[in-house]
Amino acid sequence: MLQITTTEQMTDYLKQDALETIQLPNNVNVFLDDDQLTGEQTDRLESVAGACGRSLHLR
Amino acid sequence: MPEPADDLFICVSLGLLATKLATQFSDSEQNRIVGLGTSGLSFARQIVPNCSGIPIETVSFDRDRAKRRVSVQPSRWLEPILMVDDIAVSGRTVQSAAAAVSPSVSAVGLGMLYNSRTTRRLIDVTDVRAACVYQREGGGLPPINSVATLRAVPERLDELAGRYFNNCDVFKNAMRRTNYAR
Repeated sequence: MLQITTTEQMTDYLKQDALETIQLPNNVNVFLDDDQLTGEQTDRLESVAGACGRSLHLR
Repeated sequence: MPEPADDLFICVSLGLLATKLATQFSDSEQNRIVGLGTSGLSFARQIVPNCSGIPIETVSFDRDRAKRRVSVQPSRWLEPILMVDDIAVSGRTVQSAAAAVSPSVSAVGLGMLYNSRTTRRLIDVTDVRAACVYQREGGGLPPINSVATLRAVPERLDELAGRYFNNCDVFKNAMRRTNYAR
């Protein structure tokens, strides 16, 4: 079982060939995005999180 | 009052999921890909560039969440098809759609699959492959949502915001203003 806490870890996992179940931490929201996040998209997501008074951990 | 929610977001690229899934089907013989609904079609379009221009189709469905019922528009294809969707939580939509277009469905591909007894049964009875199988630490269902779906389906955004965010109006307004370039 693999514990995933950041986008970077998720990216690394998806690049692996092996398939195993990943564990997502409690109190986490996962958002699926259509494309790789660009810098602009990251800024916008950060503003969404900031507007809600929460921190955003990406890459 | 909702529980104090997230201090962490994990953003998963559908493109990465599609690429990983495409490698799993690289040696299979399906010559048509069928995406489930709008999100499934969008996901299928990201798989196809990795599958040598295989034609893509879609099958539409209506989901009644209150009654836990999925109605799928019956469709028929003569050749074996690969049915895909971006995420499966209960597996009900996939099962209903596969039954509606049976016997054409020879395999099912999913971007993310929730690890539960129900979905494991789905895997047992069908050739189902997923780019990512997930569960929540300590049990329970982690909330996973497509940004595009939240923007397109206001009631989903309302439900998510009300359940997980204390200041839900701020979250909803910010999410609506999020305009992702394709």
